[in-house]
Amino acid sequence: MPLTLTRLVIVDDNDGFRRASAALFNGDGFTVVGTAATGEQALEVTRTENPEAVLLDIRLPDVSGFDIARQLRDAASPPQVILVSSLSRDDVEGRLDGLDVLGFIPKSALTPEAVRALLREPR
Amino acid sequence: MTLPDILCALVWAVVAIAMIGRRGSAAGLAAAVVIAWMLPELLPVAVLWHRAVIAHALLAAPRWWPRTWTARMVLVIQYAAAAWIAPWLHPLGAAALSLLLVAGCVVEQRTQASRAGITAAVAAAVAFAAPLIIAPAGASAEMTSWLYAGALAAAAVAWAFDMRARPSAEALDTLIELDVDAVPLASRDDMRRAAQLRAAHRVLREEVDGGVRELTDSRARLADAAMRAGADVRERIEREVQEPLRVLAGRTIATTDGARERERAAREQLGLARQDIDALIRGLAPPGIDRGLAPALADLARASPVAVTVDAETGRLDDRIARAAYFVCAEALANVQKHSGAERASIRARIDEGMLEVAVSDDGHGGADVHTGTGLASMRDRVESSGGVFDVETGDEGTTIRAAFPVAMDAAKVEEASDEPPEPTAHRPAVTLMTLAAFAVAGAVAAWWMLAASPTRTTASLGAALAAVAFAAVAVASSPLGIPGRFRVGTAAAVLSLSATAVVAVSVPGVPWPVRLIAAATLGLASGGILHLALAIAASGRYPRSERFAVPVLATIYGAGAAFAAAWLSVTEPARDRLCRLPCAVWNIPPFESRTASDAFAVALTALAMLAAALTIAVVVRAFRREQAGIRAALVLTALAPVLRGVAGMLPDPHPLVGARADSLLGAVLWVSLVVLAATLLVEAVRGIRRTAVARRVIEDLAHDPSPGSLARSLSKALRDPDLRIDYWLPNAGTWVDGYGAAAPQRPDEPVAIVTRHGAPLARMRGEAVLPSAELEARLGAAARLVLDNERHLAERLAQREELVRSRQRILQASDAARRRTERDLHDGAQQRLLVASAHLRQAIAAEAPDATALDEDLAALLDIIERLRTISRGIYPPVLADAGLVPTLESLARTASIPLAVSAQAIPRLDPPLEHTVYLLVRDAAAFARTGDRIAVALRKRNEHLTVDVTGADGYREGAVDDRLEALGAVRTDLPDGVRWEIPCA
Repeated sequence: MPLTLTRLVIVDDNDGFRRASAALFNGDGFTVVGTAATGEQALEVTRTENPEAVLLDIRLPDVSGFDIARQLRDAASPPQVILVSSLSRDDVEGRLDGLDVLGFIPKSALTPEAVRALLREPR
Repeated sequence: MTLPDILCALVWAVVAIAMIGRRGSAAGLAAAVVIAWMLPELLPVAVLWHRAVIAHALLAAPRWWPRTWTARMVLVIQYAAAAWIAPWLHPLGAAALSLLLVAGCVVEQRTQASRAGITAAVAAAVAFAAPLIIAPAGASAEMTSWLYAGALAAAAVAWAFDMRARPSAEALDTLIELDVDAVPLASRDDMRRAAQLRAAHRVLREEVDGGVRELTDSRARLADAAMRAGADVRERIEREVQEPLRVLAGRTIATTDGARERERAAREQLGLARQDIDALIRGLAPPGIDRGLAPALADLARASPVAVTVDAETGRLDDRIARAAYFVCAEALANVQKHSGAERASIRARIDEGMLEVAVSDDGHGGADVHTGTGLASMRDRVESSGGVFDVETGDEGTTIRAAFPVAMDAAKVEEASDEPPEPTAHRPAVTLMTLAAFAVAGAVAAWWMLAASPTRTTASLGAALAAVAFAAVAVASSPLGIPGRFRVGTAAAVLSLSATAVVAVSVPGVPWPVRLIAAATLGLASGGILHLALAIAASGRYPRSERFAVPVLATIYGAGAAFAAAWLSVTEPARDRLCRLPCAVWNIPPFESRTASDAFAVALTALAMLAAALTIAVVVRAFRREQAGIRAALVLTALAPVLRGVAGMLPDPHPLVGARADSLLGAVLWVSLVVLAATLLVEAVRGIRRTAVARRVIEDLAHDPSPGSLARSLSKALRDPDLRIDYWLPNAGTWVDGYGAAAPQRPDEPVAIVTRHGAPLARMRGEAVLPSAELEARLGAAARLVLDNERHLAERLAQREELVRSRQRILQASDAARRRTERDLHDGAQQRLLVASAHLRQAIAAEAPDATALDEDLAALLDIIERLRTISRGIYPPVLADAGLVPTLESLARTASIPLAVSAQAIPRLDPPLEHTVYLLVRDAAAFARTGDRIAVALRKRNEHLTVDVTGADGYREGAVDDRLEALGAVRTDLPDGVRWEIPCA
């Protein structure tokens, strides 16, 4: 059990999924400091809460998660970005090239352990 | 009047006659020139009027009034000058007027691009200006007069050539002659041409029909594929997702309180996901359609929020038709719910006379329009691709949508009834007519020989000799013309020529008695000949006539005329003995004075002439109204001749055979009118020969270039009328299209003539040379209508082809849009719920730990369902394709493919969704059908509004279902040495 909780922001347009995943992560080594349903909200929450990591859905209603990832990289203290989607790894992999993100986790495999594993990985 | 004046007047008169029958003002203006030229004889003040009228002819013809304002101004100035100014004008002013005329003519003619017209204008200007220059220079009055009249005569000739080059009424005439059965196809060459034309048309027709059939099939395959894909997805989702979900949703495993709550939340999400999927797949394919259309429609009605009554009795149906009918009802009900504001709706489905009829009605506010929005259009596409017909009836109250499908026969192959023109029949050369014409020519030569040998020449003998020559020429010129009907102008002309020869023979003394007797009998045929001519001229108009009565009447008049004339000669000039009236004794007729017998036969002859005159006038009056100007002139003259003959016969002491006293004015008028009649007929005959030549050229053209619209093209070329257009009426679409099947709007104030067939519009001719509809109707032959009909059929098929191409694209667009929507709905709805459920389950597992084996199993099962649904969803429409476009999707495909797949693409932008999807499917299929060891390379290039896709190295893949989609997008396939290249149009 880590001594400090990782500050996390969850970005997803589906309310149910946002709530369920927040419940899943809270306490299990993470503290969910904010959630967002759109790309715009995501940028706002990240700026105010300054999280260590962001779980970012790829298919958002206003902009693509890829674009948000690019913008987050330019923030004052850029968070670690983990892209999340209900798409499979094969569909996403090719599009990660040149993006400064920690990695991709399919939603069906999204667990605190999987996120921790990515965060521990040497970059 | 001096000799040069007379000659110049003659040249203009000949031009006027030659212009008779041409549409427009040419003949009238030329006649006006002749009158204006002669006018100073009566009215000295009108000395310069002919200049204004000549200027008028040069500037305006073939119209009555010039088109441009400059020309109109010039004309007004010319008339004003002729009326008031010119007689007192200084020679320099007259010269200025001439220059003005030349300038006006050149401007006017240049816009019409005719060298002959400019030549005429220059000749006229030289004529007007020359006297001013050469008279003061010392030329004699006679020389000036010759130069003036000569230049004006030259202007007349040049002007006539200009008129010839203009489009005229010949478009219609040629069309009539195009009637391949009526054109005298005497020679083997003609027969060959006609056969070629038919063969070429048949090939073209089959080609176009084949194209339409292929498109119809391709469209049906596309619609079918869309429908089948929906059914497949539905079936797969039911088996692989819904069934296992049902099991998962209904379980409770957790034991601890915290875990139980999480588990309940998870199972609730699973139930909701099932409901979402249920609603979604109902739209993909009709549920329960396997049980029949009626139960499926009943289910549909139950699910609708609007009250729907169903009245369906259909029995077993072809699967494709049942699905199409269901689709129409489902779409129509969706429209009712979304747009109509209706409270009630009804569905009716019945089989009647081999047709499945489906109707969906509502009581809403109506206003549905098949041309706006895609819903109704895609319904129509679906119905028509199953061989059915679709109809929308909408008003202020409610809308009814109807579809009818053929169920008794194979819908895709409804054979078109063809209306093939009849095979051409051989036309034998008119042997009888040619023989008669030869006799007429021989007679005319004999008449001139007798006249030359005779010591005395009378008006009658001179006029008769001229008429004999003129009618012989008509007979010769008419003999190659195949005018249908029993009465031919050529035959009548030959009879009249021989009669005229006979007049010379009886009026010249010293001809032996037997020849005189034959001549008298021949002369007696004249009355019948005139009637015969009237019938023949009227017959060329080709309207129904009572030939049944005409033939015996004409035969009687011919017979009686010959008999009376021969008898008269026999009693006045007995062969045997001047004193003995032998014929009377032989036939046991009581003897009477020779004078009485002679008078009696003379009266009989005159009475016969009067009867023939009356009949001729009757024929002429009946035919007159429907004829062209040239034919009308001939008809008037034809009626005039027997009237003159009859009047002359009643005058005291006429020559009983010749009719008029030899030197009487009446006799002269009679002969002049006959000669003018013959000249008119000659002009008509020559024109007919030229028309036939044009028709032959057109037929040959058509046979060599059998392509859509070729009739209008070759007519336009042959007639030198670039504006000539032929449009065709499409009764189903209710529009006019050109030969290529493209919409053909009519320009305002454009001359138009409509051709009908079986009472319905068939074609429409547009252009300067077009006749009014009524005249066209009266003159157009049945076979010409068939030629037009053939072209119309092509135009209709081409229009149909265009519509099929559009419809195929719509089907593609609609089915792709539906797939994209389904994928998105699955992603946003059911997939998210399942993922939420998985998160809940994970929490439940955490709460239940470490005793959570059963829940772990459920989570594994749920993750498996999620994965399956993702796979199915990607098959419906790849999400990456929707989000990121073609190249990332193909690269993703390359990573997962079982064989090496190399994708190279140069800056491909986002494209039309159906196009992206189609190219994706092409590559996916190539990869799916690849054989072990294949190395596939895909190269994409976008250049000049085309996307080029090269797929090489896929030996296992040659043709596939995606080809229909590619063709629907207008793609063109080229075979490469080791693959295929598709070039797809894109914006």
